[in-house]
Amino acid sequence: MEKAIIALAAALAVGIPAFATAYAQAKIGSAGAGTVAEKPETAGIIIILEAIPETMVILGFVVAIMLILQFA
Amino acid sequence: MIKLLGQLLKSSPENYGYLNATLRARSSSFLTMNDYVSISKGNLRDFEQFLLDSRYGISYREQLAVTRQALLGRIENAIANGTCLELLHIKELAKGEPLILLEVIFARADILNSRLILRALSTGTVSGPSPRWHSYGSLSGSFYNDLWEDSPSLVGIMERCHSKGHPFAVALADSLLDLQNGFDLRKAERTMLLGMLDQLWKTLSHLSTSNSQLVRNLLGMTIDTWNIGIWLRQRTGYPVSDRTDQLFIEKGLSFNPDRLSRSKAMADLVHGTLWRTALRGIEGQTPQDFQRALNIYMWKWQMKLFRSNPLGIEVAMGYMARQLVEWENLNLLSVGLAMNLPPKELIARLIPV
Repeated sequence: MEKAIIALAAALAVGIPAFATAYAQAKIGSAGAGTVAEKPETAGIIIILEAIPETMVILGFVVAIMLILQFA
Repeated sequence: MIKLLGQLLKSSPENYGYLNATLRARSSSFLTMNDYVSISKGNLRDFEQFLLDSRYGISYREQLAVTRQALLGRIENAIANGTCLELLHIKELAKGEPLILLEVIFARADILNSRLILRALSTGTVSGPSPRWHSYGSLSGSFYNDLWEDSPSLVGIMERCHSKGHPFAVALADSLLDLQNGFDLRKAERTMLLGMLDQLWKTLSHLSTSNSQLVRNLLGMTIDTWNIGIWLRQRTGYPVSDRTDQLFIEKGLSFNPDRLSRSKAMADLVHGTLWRTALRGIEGQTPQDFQRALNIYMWKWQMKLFRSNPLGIEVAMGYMARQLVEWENLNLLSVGLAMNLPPKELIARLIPV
C-alpha cells in the first residue's frame, strides 16, 4: 500500500508539470512559429524560449526519482 | 484533473499567439517620424526612390508596369495597394475568433467605400476617375469599382447591390433608396451606417470575450464620431432641419442622443467622457479642427493598443491603425511634395506615430 502511494506521488510529480509544460510550450511554440516566419534570425532565441518550460518536467522528474529512491 | 485541463484549454480556444507574434515581428517595418522628416526634405523623385526601396516597392513596380499615370498617381496607387495587400495578409493569418473580430474591424473599409459612392452619387461626380478603394473589407474593391464604373443609374446600382446579397451591399442599396426618394445625404449615410452596424452587432453577439468587448468599444467610438459630426453641423451654421436630432445614432460609447440634444457647447458634451482629452487645447477652432482632433485621438488610442496585451485582439487593432495611419501620412507627404510645401508645414500636418 505504501509503495503504491509513493508510486502515485512520483507519477503526479512528473505528470502535473508535464501538462503545464505542454500548455506553455503550445503557446510559446505557436507564437515562436509566427516570429520565426517573419524574422528567421530569431530562431535561436525562440528555441531557447521553447525549451525553458521543459525545466518544469525535469525538476518534476528529479523529485519523482528522489521519492522513489528515498522511500521505495 | 482532466476536467481542469479541458477548462484551461477552453478558456483560450483561439490562437492569438501566432497572429500576434507575426504582427509584432512585421511591425519593425513601419516608418518612423524620422523617416517622414527625411521624406519631407526631398522631392517627389526622392520619394519614388524611397518607395522602391521600401516594402511598398513591389506595389510601385507593379504600378510602373501596368499604369500610365503620372508620378503622383503612381505613388498614391502603390501606397494604397501596398496597404490593402498588407491588411488582407493579416486576415489570412487569422483563424477563429481573431478572424471574426478582424472582419468587424475591417468593416471600416466598407463604410468608407460606401460613403464615397453615396457622396459621389449625391453630388453627381460618380462618372469621374475611380477613387482608391479601401480593398480590405468584406466586399472587394472591384465590387465598389464596378458600381462606380458600370452602373448608369441609382436603380442599376441598387440592383447590383441586392444581387450581391451581402448585408453591407444591402445596407448600401437601402441608403441609395433614401437618396432616390429625395432624402438628405446625411439621412442616407445614416441608413447605410445603421444597416452595417446592425450586421456587425449581430456578428459580435455570438462572442462574450474581453476581445469582443474591445471591438464593441471601437464600434461605439465610431458611432460617437458620427454623432459628434452631426452635432457640430447643427451648431456651426450648416443648413439643418428640425429633424437633425433624428440623425443621431444610438449605442455610442460616450454619448446617447439625449445628451447630444441637450448639450449646447463642446465642453459640456465631452465633459466626463474619454473624448475630453482629445479636444483639450483646440477650443475655439473650426469644426474641421475638432473632427481632425477626434480622428487623431481615435488613431492614437488604437495604435497604443498594439503593446497593451500580447495575447489579445489589441495587437491586430494596433497594427491596422499603424498601417492606415502610415497610408494617410504617406499620402499627405506625396501630395505635399507635389505642391512643393515646406517640410515644416508637411510634418505639422502628419498624424504623430
